[in-house]
Amino acid sequence: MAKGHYDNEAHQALTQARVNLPTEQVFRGRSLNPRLNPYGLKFRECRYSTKHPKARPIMMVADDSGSMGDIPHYWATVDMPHFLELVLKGGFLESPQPMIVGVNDVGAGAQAPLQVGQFEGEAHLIDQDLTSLFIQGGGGSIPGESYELPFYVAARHASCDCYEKDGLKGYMFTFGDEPPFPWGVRAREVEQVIGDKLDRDIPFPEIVAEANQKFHCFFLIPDEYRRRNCEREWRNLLGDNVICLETHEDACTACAVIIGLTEGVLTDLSAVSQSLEAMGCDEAKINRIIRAVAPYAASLDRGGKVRRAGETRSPSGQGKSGNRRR
Amino acid sequence: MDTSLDVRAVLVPESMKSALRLMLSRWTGRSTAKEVMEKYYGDLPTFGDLQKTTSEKIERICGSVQNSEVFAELASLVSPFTPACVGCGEFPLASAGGKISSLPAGSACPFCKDGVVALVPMALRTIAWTDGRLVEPQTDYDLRSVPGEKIPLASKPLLDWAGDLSPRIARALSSAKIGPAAFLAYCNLRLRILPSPLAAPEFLATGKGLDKDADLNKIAAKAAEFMLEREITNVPPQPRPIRRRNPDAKRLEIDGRTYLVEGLIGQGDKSSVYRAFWDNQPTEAVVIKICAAMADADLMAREAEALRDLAKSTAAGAHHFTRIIPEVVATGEIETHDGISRPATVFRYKNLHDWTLADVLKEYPDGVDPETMVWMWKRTLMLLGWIHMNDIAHGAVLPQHILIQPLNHAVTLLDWAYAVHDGETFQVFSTAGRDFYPSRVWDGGRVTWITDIIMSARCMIALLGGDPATGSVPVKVPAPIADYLRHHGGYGPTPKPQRVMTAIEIEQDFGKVAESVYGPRRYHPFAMPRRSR
Repeated sequence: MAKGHYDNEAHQALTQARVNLPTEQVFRGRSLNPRLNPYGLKFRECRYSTKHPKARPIMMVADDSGSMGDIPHYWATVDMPHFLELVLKGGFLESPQPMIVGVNDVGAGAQAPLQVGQFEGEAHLIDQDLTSLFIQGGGGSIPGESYELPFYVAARHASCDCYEKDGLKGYMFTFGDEPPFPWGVRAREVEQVIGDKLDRDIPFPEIVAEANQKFHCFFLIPDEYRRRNCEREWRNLLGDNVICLETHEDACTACAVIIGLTEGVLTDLSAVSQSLEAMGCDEAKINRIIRAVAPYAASLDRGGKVRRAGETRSPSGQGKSGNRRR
Repeated sequence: MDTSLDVRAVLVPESMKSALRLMLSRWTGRSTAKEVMEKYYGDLPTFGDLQKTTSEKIERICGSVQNSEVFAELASLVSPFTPACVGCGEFPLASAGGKISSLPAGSACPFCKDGVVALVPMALRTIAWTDGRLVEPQTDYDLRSVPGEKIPLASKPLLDWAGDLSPRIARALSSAKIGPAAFLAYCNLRLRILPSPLAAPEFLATGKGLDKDADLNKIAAKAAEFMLEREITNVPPQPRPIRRRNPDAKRLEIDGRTYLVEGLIGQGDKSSVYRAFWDNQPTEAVVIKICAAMADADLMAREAEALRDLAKSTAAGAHHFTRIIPEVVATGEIETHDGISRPATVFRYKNLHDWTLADVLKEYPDGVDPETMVWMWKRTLMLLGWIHMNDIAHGAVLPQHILIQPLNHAVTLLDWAYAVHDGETFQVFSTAGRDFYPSRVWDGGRVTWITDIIMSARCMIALLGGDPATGSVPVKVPAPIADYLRHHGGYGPTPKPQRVMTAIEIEQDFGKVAESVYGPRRYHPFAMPRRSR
C-alpha cells in the first residue's frame, strides 16, 4: 500500500465539492464495503517506498454509531485535507499514511462492527476509504462501543516499517464518546469479526499496552458534554493521552498538533499557537486547541514552566490539626 | 503478547523440556519417559513437534507405552504461553476422565500446592540485524537481504563469519551482555553505519564508521535496549521508565495504580500535597494529598465525596465547571514509614495551576496591582456562583485554597473538606484563616453561600495589601473598587442588606465597577514568581 504521491490540493478539491451534502450522500455505503472488511485480515502494511521513504502510519478510528456520525462527516467534507496539510506544512511528518477505521458495537449486533481501510498515501485513496465507510448509526443499550477491536488491529494486524526498522511508532487516534467495554477483547468476537482464533480473552489494559508498543495511542472526546460519559474510564487506560476537545470541528487540528508535539517539532505550547496562527486558525480555535492538548504537552515536558516540587518525604507522626470543629 | 503468532518453529527451552519429562513420567512411568524424550523428541524439539505429538507415532518409535494417548493429548496443548511451576517444575495440565484442565499463569500449582505457575520467558521472534525483519529466534542465516549471499544472523555462525572482533567492541559487548547480532542490529538499523550487510566483518574487526572516541559501552547498552524493545516475547511487555521522571523516585500504590512521586508542592492544615506521575506509558500527571494530621482523617473522605457529588452535577454549566473544580482520580490509604495508615486522595494535576493566593501574597507582600485582582475575584465569583447553584457552600474560601493559573487567568478552589450542603450542621474552621471568616459565623452562625462571598472579598482585600480583619486597603487602590470590596466583605455592625446578591450578580456588577475605573476589559498580564522587584 501507500505507493502514490499525496496531493493536498486535489484532496481539498475532492472534499470541498461535498461541503453541503448531507451525511447519507457523502457516505453512500449501505452495507460493509469489501475494501474495509476486516474478516481474514492478516496485516495492514505501511512500508517504506521510493515515494514514501519515511512512511508513518496514522490510524484514524471513527465511532460510526449514531451519536458520533458528525465526526466522519466533518472529516469527509472539510477536515481530512486540513489535517494532512497541517502535518505536512508544519513538517511534523514527511509522509503521513492515514488509515480510516470505523467502529461500532459488536455485542449489539452491528452489521459492520469494525471497518478497516488501508494505510494510504494518495488523496483519492484516503478519500475513497473514508467515503466507503458505512455509517450505521445505532449502538448498543449498554454504554460503550467495541473500541477494543481497533486496538487489537493496531497491536496484531499492523506491520509498519517505521517501527520494525527504525523503532518509530505510528499514531492511533480514536474518536469516541463512550467508555471502553470493561471485558476487553473477547476471543469469540475477534473470531467472528476478524477470523483470528485466540486461546483466551485479552483484558483491555493488556491490548492497549500492546498497541502502545507500536503506536502512540490517543482517545479524543469531541466536546465537553460528552466528556462526562467516559473521560475517567479512558484516563484509567491512557492517562494524559485522553484529549478532551471543546468542539468536534477541532478534531483533526488537535491530532496534527499532537503529532507535532510528539515528534518534537512543536517544542512548547507557544510554538503550537504560532504554528496554528501561521496556518490561518482564528484565536478562539487556537485557545481551544491549546486547552485541549495542554495536559498531554505537559506529560512530554512541553507544557510550559512548571513550579518546582520539593522533597518527597512523607508526613510522619500524628500531626497537628489547624482546624477548629463545632 | 501475541497468542496468534505461529510458534511451531520455536525451540522448547530447557526448563520446559524438563516439565515435559515430568509430565511424561507422571503418565508413562519413569523409565519409559527417558526413552520417549530421547528417541521421540530428540535434543532440540520445537513447539511444532509438541503440537504434532500423537500416541501412534510414539508407539511406533518406542513400542507400547502406557497412557500414551493422554500424554499425547496434553503435550499437543503445550505452547510458549503454557506456564510451568516455579517450585516443582510441572505444567499445570491434567486430564481426568477425558477432561483436560489447565491453569493460567499466576495460579497456585495443582501438584506441589506451594508453588506458583509462571510463564517461562522466551523470545518468539527476534529482529534480523540485516534488514529489521522479525524472524524466528533460531533462524541462523539470512538469504534474502543480499541475494546470493548467506549472511549469518545467529551469534555463533556470525562470529565464525566475521573472525576476530575488535577488542574494544568485544569488551563493550561483554559488559552489556549482548551478542554481536544485537550490536550489529543497532548500528545498522538505527545508526545506519553499515553501507551493506557485507561490510559487517570489517566493521566488527575495526569499528570502521564509528566515531574514534565514541563511547562503545553506551552504544552497546542502547543496542541491548533496542533489541529488548523489538523482540517479541511470550511475557507481557514491562512498562518502560517514564521520561524526565526519576525511575528511582518514591513509589506509592493507590487503588491499584503505582505513582512516582516528584515532590512536595503544598502543605495544608491537615495534609501534605505531592505532584506525582502514574508509572505507565502513557502517563498521567496527578496530585496526591496525604493526610498529615490524623485527627482530620475523616475530612479527607468528606472532600472526595463533595467533589464526586459535584462532578455528577446537572446544574446549568456543569459541563464547563466540572472541568474547573479538582477532579478526583482515586482514594485510598498509604502506610507511611511510621506505621500509620493514612488516607490519601489522588487528583488530576491541572497543568500550570501551581500557585495559590497565599503564594501570591508572599511574593507580593505590598499587594498586587488592583487590575490583577479584578480577574482573580471575577473568576472566583463565577465558580462560586455555579457551586451555589448546586446548594453547596465551599466553606473555606481562603487565600491558600484559591489556586490560580497566571497565564490564562484561570482560578480554581481547593480543599473541599469544609464544604457544607444547605442545612447541614457539620462545620469546621481553619484557625489560620480566622480573619477571613465573618465574625458572626466564627462566633456560632451557620456557614452559607453568603459566607463564601464575604470570604472571597476578604481574600481580595488581603491580596491588595489590606487587612482582611478590618477591611482597610492601601490608598493606591481606586476608591470605587475598595468600597465595593468592603461592602461585600461583611464588615460593620449590621450586615443586613435588603436583598443579598448572588455571586453571579456580584461578578457582573463588579465587572461594571472595574470597567468604570479601567475602561473596557483587556488582558492584564500577571507573573508568578514576580519578575522584578
